[in-house]
Amino acid sequence: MLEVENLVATYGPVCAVDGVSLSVPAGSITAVLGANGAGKSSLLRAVSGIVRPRSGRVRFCDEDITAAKAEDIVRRGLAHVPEGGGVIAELSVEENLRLGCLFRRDRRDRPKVLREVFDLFPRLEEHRRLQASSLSGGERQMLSIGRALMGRPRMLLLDEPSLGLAPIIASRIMDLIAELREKTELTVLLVEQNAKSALSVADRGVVLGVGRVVAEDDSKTLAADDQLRHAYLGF
Amino acid sequence: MTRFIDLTLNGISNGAIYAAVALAFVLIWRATRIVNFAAGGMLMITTFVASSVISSSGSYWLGFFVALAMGFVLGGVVERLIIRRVEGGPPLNSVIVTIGLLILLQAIAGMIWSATPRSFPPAFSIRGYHVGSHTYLFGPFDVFTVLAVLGVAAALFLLFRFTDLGLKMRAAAFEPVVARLQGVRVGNMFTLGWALASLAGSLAGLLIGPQVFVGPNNFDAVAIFGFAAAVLGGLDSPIGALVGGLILGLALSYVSGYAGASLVTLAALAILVAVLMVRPSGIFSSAKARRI
Repeated sequence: MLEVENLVATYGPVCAVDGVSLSVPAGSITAVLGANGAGKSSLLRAVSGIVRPRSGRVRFCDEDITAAKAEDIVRRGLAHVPEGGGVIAELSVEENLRLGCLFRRDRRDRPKVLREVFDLFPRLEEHRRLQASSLSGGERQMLSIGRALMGRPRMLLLDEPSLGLAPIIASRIMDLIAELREKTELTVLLVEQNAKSALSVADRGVVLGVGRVVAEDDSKTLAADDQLRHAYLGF
Repeated sequence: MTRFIDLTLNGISNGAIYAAVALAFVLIWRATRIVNFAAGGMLMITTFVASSVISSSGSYWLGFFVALAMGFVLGGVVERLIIRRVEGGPPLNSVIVTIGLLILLQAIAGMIWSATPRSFPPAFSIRGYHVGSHTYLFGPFDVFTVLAVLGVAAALFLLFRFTDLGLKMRAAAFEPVVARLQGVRVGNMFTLGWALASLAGSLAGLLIGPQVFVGPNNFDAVAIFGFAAAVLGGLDSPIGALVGGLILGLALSYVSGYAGASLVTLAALAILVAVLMVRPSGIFSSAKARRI
């Protein structure tokens, strides 16, 4: 569903993504793992159009989106939940959610998709009128995933959804990602520093060193590779 | 007592105009984090255009609505052609660009319409209402002034609060990158923000025109008062702009009535400095909510 070929993305003189290739099959959960600074977030930012890649190609559903703008890429069904969630603190919970479906032409579907998101995250419905700034970290993460779902995406890019959350909340988020895939056949590209929990839900994993792919395999094989675990995954 | 009432009424009327100018500053600050020092120049141009349309067509209302439409277009064009290049850059760049634009607009106005100020008609009589033997400093045009500003403010409030477009504009203003990820065309929202701000400014120009006359530099004072009102209200909050405008209008009216008209500009600047020293985030700033 998503193919990345030789992608290079730079911030000034710093080469954050240095020729990464990977492919994400439809319906799979693929984890991108690696330490801080390995280029995981930069990879997502280049794929979703926030950062213009220096070179390389990104194809989504067999169409070239390398040069497309972020606001057009989300319209094609590729939603990016940025690091920390990107919840807009000044807006209410419901306004944050509504924002996620405004680009869709089908207005009649809006109440329906809102209902679905509320069923998935009952906490958001309880707090729908509150300002998003009053939510806890876990609730914010749920809000940002829910907001992405409001656009009925075909694929989700999730950037460190467990970052800064208590372990129990983080594992709830991971369960939820697995559940989402079961229910909606969503394709997920999951970026995580917490390799263990990410591999527990992912089908496949891609390990990034400094801007480059150092290993790529199915989750069980990666988790069983002692050398890789010690060198890159930290568990 | 009648003097106090007179000064209060006059303060409310002028305060409404300052509030409209303050809205012009606030909408632009919210959308693009830029203080538009050219605001006074932009509303001066649209009021000149209104003056020309009125004198050539004989219709006040034609000139009035042409000026509002032109304010809307001018704001959008300025953002697209000039401001777009300094958005997101160092703050000093936008300061220099907008001050440069102010000087440019004043020079252009002088070339087209000459530097000699001309009178500008009010929409309705400026003669005050009689109650008993007293003629109040508040007439039909003052009623129109207050209602027009309230109308624009209410329309903006409804737009921001209850429409999809308003939600997109707020999202683009608060978190541009996140908004883009939700499919919001952020650049268009900024253009629209500037256009609406400039529309509010051009309304203020039409309302203050009869008092100050129309000349290239005649709107400098109202621009400064409007900026002070915006800072008073927090620069970030449209409601703050309204309240700030009202407070400033009343304060300046009392200063003018009880202490002398020549002290008005000094008082405005004193209020501006005092606010910046005591409460730089203004009365209605939402700065606290932004910590996340």
